[in-house]
Amino acid sequence: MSLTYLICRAHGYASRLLGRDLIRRLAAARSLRQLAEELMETEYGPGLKTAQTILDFEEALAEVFVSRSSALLGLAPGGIGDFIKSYLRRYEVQNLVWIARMKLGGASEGEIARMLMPVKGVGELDLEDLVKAGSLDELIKAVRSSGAYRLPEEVESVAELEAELWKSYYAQIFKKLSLIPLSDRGDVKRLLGLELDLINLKTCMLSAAGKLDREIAEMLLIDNPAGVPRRKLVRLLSKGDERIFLEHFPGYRDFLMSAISGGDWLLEVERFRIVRRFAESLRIPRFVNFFYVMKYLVDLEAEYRDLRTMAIAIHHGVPPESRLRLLVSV
Amino acid sequence: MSLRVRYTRGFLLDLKRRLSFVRDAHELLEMKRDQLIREIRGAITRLKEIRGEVEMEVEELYGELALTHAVYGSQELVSASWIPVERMEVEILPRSVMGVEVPKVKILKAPSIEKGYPPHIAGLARKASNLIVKLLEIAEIEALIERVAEDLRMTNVRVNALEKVVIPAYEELIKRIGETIEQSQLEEFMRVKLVKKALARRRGEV
Repeated sequence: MSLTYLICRAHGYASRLLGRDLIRRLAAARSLRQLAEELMETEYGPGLKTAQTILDFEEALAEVFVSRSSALLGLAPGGIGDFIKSYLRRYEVQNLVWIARMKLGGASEGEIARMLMPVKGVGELDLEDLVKAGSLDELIKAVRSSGAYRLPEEVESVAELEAELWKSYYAQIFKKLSLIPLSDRGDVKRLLGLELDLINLKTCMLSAAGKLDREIAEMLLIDNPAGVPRRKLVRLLSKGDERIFLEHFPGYRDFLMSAISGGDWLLEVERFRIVRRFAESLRIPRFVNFFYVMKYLVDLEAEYRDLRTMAIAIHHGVPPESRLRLLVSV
Repeated sequence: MSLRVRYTRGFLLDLKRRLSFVRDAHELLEMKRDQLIREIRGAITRLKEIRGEVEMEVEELYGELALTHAVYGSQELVSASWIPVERMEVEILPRSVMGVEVPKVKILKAPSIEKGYPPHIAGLARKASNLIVKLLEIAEIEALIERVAEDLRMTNVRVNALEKVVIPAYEELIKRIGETIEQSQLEEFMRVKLVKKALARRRGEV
């Protein structure tokens, strides 16, 4: 398989993404059943046919999302495939965090397995084995010995484990940038840098607003080789003032303002909107360009998140006009 | 009221003393009843206030929870709910309201939310934790109302019994004994008069 073939297929797949009008129509659905019916003609249809509960819905949506993302892996040539696989390991990290939290709380294997995203084939680790770990320590030991993530000798809490997993993930993905074509490297690096900047700034703003302990916030900050250095954020964090961040990062003003105005969920939506807008704003000079694959992956995640958000919002009876505020792609 | 009635002046005086005691008791019970009513009214007002606050906070919390759930997904929320945090420790102490024992909830240790939950969920957890404190206060007030109301009912029964049965019965008895004593005094007087008359006749005075 060649890179050109992968990019062309990504273009093809992108045409199957749900349009903005359909997303708006879906957001106005009155029930989960109606939402499922509207999606019946799409790839989501078969999975949603039998979905009864909100968890069934989420599971069905996640399955389509993961199968569509991992479809690219089979088409990608060697190094590129490695990079995409590394990029998609973010869902494995997410699963590991969920496993760790539930292990700590004494959840059963069945309960944990039900919650995980079906990332088999995308990640490095055998999650089924990890779910069977007797304790959090055993889980950490198993992850460490696998070599898939670099973890320090002492991991004292789930929050620390989460921070270390994400640090290891981003360190690896930045390292793997060398596997993609030189012409795309800068754009993909900027995309990842932006994503990381927003994650770090979100942590900083939560801490400056007094919603997060400063020590924990410092621990959660991730080194960003393509954005704001961690050192600078730690220095600003020590001042304990939200306005400092507004002064230093005027480019992220809207994002930071949403942190000040409250609603941590809005911060997450805004974060993803900015990343998606950035991916869209890049004017790629050539049609055959690896960044299209990255953009497709970002769009795919946006679509998955939007559908999941809509389903849960309908489940909770959030009014249709409020649902639009929660969506990334509208 | 089971009494062995004796139609004597001594018994009448004893009854009057008892009636005065019963009237004092009735007055005291009435005062207790009024105080209990005041306690209940105060508690109901506070309950209404705090219920209103809790309802508003629950609505707000639920709204925020729905939005957080929608944005982050079930996995994030469910997995976070498994994170063990310190348990809240409370002690139930007895408190007396007009002699009625009611529970008083004392929070010994509130759980620290900051270090356990992920930051985007800690805010929700903090709000829910604060809500528990208010729910405990509601439980405390409801228990107070329930127990004071029960005591009020009993007090009311006692007041009514004294007012409608015991006091009228005593009054009736006192009246009856008084009348009987008065009648026997009159009879005695008449008897003395007749005896005096008979004696005078015998002496040939008439």
